[in-house]
Amino acid sequence: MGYIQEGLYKSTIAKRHLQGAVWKRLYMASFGVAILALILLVLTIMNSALGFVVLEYRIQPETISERPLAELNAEELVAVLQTEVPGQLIPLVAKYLANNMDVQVFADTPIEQSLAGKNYPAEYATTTPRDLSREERPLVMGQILASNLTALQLNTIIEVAVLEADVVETYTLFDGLLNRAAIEQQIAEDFPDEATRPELQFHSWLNTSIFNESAGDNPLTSGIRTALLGTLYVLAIVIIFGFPLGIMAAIYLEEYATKNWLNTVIENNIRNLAGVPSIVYGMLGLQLFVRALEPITSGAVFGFTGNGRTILSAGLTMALLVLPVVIINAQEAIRAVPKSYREASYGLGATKWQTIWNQVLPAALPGIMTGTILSMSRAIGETAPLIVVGAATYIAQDPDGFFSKFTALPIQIFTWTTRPQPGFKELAAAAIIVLLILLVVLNLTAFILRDRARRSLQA
Amino acid sequence: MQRVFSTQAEASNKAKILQQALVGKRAAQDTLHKRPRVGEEIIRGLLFASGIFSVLVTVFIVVYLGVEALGFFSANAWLPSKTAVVNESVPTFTLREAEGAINASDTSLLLQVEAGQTLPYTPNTLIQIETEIMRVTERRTASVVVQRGINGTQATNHAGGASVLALQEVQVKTPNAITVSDTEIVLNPGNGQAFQVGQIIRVNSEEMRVLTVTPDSITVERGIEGTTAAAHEADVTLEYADTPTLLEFFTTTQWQPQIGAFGILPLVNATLMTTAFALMVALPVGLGVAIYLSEYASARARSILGPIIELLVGVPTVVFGFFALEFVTQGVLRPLFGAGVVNFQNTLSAGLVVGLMIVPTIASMSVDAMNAVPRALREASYGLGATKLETTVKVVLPAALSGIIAAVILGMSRAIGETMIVAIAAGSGPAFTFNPFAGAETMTGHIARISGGDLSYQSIDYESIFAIGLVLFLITLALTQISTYITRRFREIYD
Repeated sequence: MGYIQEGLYKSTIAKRHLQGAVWKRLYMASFGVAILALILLVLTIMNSALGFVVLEYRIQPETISERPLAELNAEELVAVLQTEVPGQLIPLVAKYLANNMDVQVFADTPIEQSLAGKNYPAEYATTTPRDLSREERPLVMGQILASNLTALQLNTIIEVAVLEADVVETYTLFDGLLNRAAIEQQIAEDFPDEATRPELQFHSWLNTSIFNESAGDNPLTSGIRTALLGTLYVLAIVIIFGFPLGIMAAIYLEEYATKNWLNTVIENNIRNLAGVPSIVYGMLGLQLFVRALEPITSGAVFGFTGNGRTILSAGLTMALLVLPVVIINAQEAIRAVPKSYREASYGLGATKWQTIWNQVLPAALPGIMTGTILSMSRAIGETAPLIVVGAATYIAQDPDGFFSKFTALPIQIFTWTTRPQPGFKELAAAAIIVLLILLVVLNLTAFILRDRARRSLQA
Repeated sequence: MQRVFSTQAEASNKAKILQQALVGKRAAQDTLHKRPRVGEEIIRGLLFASGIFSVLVTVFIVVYLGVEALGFFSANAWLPSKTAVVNESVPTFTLREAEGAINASDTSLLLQVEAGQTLPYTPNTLIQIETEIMRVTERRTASVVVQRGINGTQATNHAGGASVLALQEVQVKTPNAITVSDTEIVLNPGNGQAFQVGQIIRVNSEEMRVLTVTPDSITVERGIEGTTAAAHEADVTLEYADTPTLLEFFTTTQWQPQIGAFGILPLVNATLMTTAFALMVALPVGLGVAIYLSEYASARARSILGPIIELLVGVPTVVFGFFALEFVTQGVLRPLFGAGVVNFQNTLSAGLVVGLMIVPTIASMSVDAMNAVPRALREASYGLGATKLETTVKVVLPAALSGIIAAVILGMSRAIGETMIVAIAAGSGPAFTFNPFAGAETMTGHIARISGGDLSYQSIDYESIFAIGLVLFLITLALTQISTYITRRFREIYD
């Protein structure tokens, strides 16, 4: 009692408040660490995706054009292509304008079909490239290239197709800006001959051409096209198979399940499934879809050939992976619908299913959507199960259905990250930016929907 | 509400029900209940099936991992039978006179080395002194450390001056052709020591069981394990089957199934190291974030800062892997400790970034636990004159402890199961090391790398990843269960 009466507590009070203030700062600092890490993450990626490169040309740019290539317009650039590589024009058109079509198929398809929606000379609409005479081919194809592509795109094409550019070394953005002198000195040492000495130039690895190119050997002409398409295909399977199953299970657990041992097992099991490492799902997919169900997943029963390592297998594996996430989120959304909605519906004589279908589900829909979108972003970002299921690391052709071999955006990033040649790590960074943008858009949608759901249920 | 009845019969039926409702409530209910709702029941069945499906998924996981893991423990890695012969090209050394004498338990051999000579015995070389064979584990300037009495020999005393012979391992081949009915295989003199009674051996594709062994020949049971006896040409390599045992699996420290090294410890060790580093980051940061969000931040700050932390959840792990490699290793660890010290792939960088990844898991679950602590407890604490810090540390944290522990265990389970960060940044080869700057492959990283190539479904590598996967699954399952148990059992309920 003396402690308070004699005011003894006053002697320690300053110290206690100081302690409080110090620890408050520490708690804030730990928050700062998390934010800082996030910022550094983004900076590291940007720093790699935008950077400086040293390009070595097999053929010097001066030998093919008197003026610098960057100053030429589209027609002049096409003229360069026509004189230097006349035989490559058809493959180029097939690749860049006909959705990466196989060259042989492209040559036998009428132009109006293969280039639907693109600009092409009307008089050649019904002819196939093979029908054109040897002299006509470069002219017509050149005209098509010039009228569809920008000068910038043509420049990149020329760099690789004509000049045979090769990335010798890459530098990050900061490195290139801060240590420029040292780097240039290094280049001067590596290339003593001044006439062919390559220049240090800025290069944004994140550009529009990565959306048109597939993975290849030259980082300058590699892109994420097949990978991005693969991801979208896999996502489609997840939406078709995973979401309905998950939402149905959630409805059962929330609306029908009584408290008995079986339902407790189901409920507990779902929590456990959510904690299973994703790579274990990959192994499940490998055994179940790739091997046991091979006749179906390889498409053999539908007359396709190939093995079970298909988009369908990958998508089904992903569907299993996101199932617990979908169920748990949908359960929460359904649980959030007030009991009064149901009672009012029963009161009007509706059956159980009528109540669920007409009252509960519409009210829970935004919440369910949030959960499904979040699990979509999980499906987009997951890599490990796809590796185990058997993603191909190198595919140049667009997937043509659910039974084709697959690769996905994160797989492509992983492959590029672990490749030692200069240029691929930077390409991985560019692909990461695309992936992150995709995810941010999805998460923002989910966030907005969640917000709206909360408000409408409160109102 | 108006209702139009389609048939007269239905209309009269309804009318009857209504009448009954007026007469007796109970009877009316019975009639209503008798009406079968087929559609409703079908829908209910469908929904139930979807619920059961998730149980099926678990069953499939357990069955498939279990079956293939069993396959692993009964699989044979075929290794060439080897016998050690004296390597004539290596000069012979002797044990030092007097002080070089050794008894059966010594492991260090002092050798007579002239100035300018270096010992030729690299680690893993076999040496022979008199009848005893030893394996060199470490070479020094004038001595070697050995493992005594291997290859079935006995460790015995040796006098000083005994000569040390270097051995080399050679593959055992059949000197003569074998016919379909032969049960004795003649070997080159001395090669019998490569075999043991009961061992399964393989000649071409035929498997045999060794029945008796003499130094110059073995007798065998032909065509076992579903193979058929066949004739074999001379000069064929004999292989013996090495089957993993559970003891070997959990206690030895080398993992290379193709050559019969089945110790999972290097992989487990790397996983534990990355997890430990992860917790070093995630515990302070995650708890700090949670305390700040739950106790200090204003409602407005919470609504803005909470989602920012949630952003970390959305970052794909392959991106974190890139970050670990490019920033943590290249940008921080190497400049700090030197590129010579820090390997390009190392468990420290991977672990730190895994820690960053599990911060939101730990933070958001801890926030929930702390929010569940009733306001009254805090107010009572303030009323007694405690500061905010004292209230937080001495009242709120103990009250929320079970939830926080559950959160940490769940975070740990995620760290153990994380694959891409460790596959990119931790290492690409199993290594038993405690050095945080050295590369070492974790369980998950190993599975990812091995299954990345085109793996034959029959190979021991393929089955081995399922054994690892089963261990991984059981560990994470146990952790999830513990976490759930703690939240249920130790939850403080204040009502």
